[in-house]
Amino acid sequence: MSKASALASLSWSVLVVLLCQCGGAQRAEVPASVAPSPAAGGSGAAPSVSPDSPAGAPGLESAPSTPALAPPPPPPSPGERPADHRSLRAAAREELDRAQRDLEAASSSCDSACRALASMEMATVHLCSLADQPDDQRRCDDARQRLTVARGRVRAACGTCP
Amino acid sequence: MKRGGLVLAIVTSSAVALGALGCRERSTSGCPGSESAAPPVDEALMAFLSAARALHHEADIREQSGDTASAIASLERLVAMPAPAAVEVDEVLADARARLAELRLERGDVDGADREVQAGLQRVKGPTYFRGHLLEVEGLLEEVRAGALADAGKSVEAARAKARAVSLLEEAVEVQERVIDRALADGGTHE
Repeated sequence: MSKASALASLSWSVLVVLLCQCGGAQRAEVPASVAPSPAAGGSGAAPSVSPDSPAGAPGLESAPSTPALAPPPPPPSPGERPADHRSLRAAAREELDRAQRDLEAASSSCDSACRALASMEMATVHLCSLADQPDDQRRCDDARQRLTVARGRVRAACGTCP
Repeated sequence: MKRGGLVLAIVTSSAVALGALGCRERSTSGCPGSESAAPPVDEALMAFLSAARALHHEADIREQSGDTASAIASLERLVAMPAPAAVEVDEVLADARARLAELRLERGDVDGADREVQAGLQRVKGPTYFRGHLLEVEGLLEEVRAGALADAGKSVEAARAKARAVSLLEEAVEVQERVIDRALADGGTHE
């Protein structure tokens, strides 16, 4: 799961838990202004594109894609018993915990990927600076190709690295 | 990322892992339900990681003020600390060795930098960020060595050092590529 989608999922889970907690006395309605949409989820979580990113990276302008969010559990109806509310709250809390774990995992994986990408860039720059023979140039080209692919993958999953 | 930040990342992931372990083993208000008693948190590990973080910060401050010798002294204290056996400790020490190598290289101490890199590589064997970074630094020092040998008119030795540099840098690229593949595939397994 990408960091953006994990954050969107976490935000949605928080909303669900809050609605479940408020929904005991009367039916909770989700206002249209806070209802999640792919655009809303993406704009809140997608990191901006840094202008000082290394030159030559393909697809720098594309923001990370935001996957579709899972639909929320239905709000309690007036006829439901308190036990139903409790189980709904428990399910929502479970979903919140899961989303939080996903976010932590996505952040950790992006930290690792960004660190590795920086090291990969440094190694490639120096490797290519040493390439004055045809074989070295081939190795430089190969490293650059790998770097371009890796950079695109990290950007798609994590957005901008710090 | 500042080195203090990198160590903080290791400390944080360790704390999360230890916390998760506690959550698995005991029932607390902050943990999803389980019932048995908690194991003792590894205090020696956390103390080591905390001290390492402080020494990296100290080295940051000294390096920023241009006092490379004192920054090296801070990191030498770090690598000399009694260390419990743990993967996190190996990673912190490997990272400290890489930083020491870079600082020594800045001062023109190529052989000293090489010793730090070799010591660091002993700590991290698998394809991790830390090993890849050490290979990258080793490639840089071989590059510097090749230049010095060429300047000294030792063209054969210079060519060998350059070939080693290219191979090491290529290996660093491959290792970090695998690190990225794994990080993005498994969604955050600790590197």
